[in-house]
Amino acid sequence: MRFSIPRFWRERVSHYRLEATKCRVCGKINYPPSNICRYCGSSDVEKVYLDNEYGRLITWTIIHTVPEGFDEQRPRIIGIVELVDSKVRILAPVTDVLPEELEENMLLEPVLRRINEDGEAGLIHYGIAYRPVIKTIGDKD
Amino acid sequence: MDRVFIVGVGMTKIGRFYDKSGRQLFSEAITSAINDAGGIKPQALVVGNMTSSVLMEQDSLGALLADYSGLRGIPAFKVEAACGSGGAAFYAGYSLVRSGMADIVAVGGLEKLTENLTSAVTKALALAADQEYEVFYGASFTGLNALVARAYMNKYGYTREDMAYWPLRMHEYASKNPYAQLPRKTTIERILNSPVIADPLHLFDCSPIGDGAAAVILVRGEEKAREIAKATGRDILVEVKGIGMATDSVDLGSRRDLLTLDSTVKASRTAYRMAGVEPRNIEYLEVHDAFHITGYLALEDLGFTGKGKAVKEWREGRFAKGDKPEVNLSGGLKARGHPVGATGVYQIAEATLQLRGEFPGEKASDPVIAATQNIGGVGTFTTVTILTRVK
Ligand SMILES: [Zn+2]
Repeated sequence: MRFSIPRFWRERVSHYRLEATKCRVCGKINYPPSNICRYCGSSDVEKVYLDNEYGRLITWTIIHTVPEGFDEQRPRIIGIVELVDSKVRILAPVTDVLPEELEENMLLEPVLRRINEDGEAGLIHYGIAYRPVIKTIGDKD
Repeated sequence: MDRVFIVGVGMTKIGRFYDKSGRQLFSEAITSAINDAGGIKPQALVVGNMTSSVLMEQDSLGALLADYSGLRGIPAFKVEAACGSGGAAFYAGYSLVRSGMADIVAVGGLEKLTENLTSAVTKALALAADQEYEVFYGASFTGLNALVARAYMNKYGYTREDMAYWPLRMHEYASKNPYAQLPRKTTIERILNSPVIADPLHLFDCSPIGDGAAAVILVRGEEKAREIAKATGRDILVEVKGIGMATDSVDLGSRRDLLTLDSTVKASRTAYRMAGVEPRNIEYLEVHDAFHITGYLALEDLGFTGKGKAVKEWREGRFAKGDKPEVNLSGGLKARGHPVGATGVYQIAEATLQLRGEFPGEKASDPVIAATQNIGGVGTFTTVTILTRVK
């Protein structure tokens, strides 16, 4: 085991449910969450959850030279997804898709996935990934 | 107000040095900087370095490097700002001199990467990014830059070939630089066909992994600078006229604009104001092209061209030798090399040599005002410095 367990336990809600903070002063949503608004400095913030929103793919990369620990998940698709209602941008894996099927602005939905594991005896890390929404359901176009 | 001058510079060649330790490389660079300054002894040392804790498994770097440079006992510390560590160390070193804490300060940069596995280096460099919300998902540092590159190419309609003219020109300049890691020309075809690292970035779109060390010596006051210039047979001085530093978010998702390096915009405004110059006055420029995309964004965000225009203008021949400004005649991070925490110090050493007319590679056209831009992360930190030649 290489990673500290508290580090991942502490972040489980923001990793599993995209827990964020909404600023009551400037109205902006902070993701990753922060007790002090990263846009205006106010500490008057409340928790919100972003795991029920569709997103649009803003940009993506297909990583072939992966960091240590991700060798078995090569190539790895990482995207920046803009959520349709809150407009918050989330960096996350894009899954259940072939690299050549990726398109700017494609509609994506969040799904809980295994992200990595800490060796054979360590924690398994889960988090939100995004996958394409099948055209016939959900979307207006 | 006391003026600050650069009176000595030293660099090692950048490369894979299996036969030299970090402390050896550093002592070579600082010894040549001290010799270049006529042998004066620094009263303090600031070191820019990113990965010593992880890849050299060495902390206490400031003291270690002072000791092995013959400077045991002086105040010495490391400054970390990811790939921008060198620029940040210079910012700290300048502040020590300017404030009067010391009259003579050495600013060095050191990085020792190549004796580690590529996956370990990839992981260490990814420490520049947000561990809990970016690297957690398997993003590499190249991958994060690739996200910006694709967004830029999509927005402005540029192809991989359009982008490839940056590395092409950098290799050409580096072929004349004796300190460069990749001193050889290349072709558009070779750039386009190089292996993919993080699509759309291929190997030749990225700076190489290399070891290197550089150092500069700063002094306070024109009188001291003149005395050293006289002793070393020079009739010109190089003055630090302006310096600015700024930061942005570490994570890319929360940026105001994914395609603007806000830290570069802010740091450059501060530096320009302090120096009393505008972009149009700058004749020589070294920018942080860790990837072609960061080079192009630097030209836009430093105010040399409009958003989305850098690639087109570059391909048409702007910013080349003979233009104003002339950019990265060293070969840039792309081909001179990018020994991470040392890079910002290399840039300042190179700009100093260009102002003196002493650069041993492709020479600039007699510049009087030069600027350097060093970033850490994907624009998380930027330091901009303005140097001028004083008769
Ligand atoms: Zn706020």
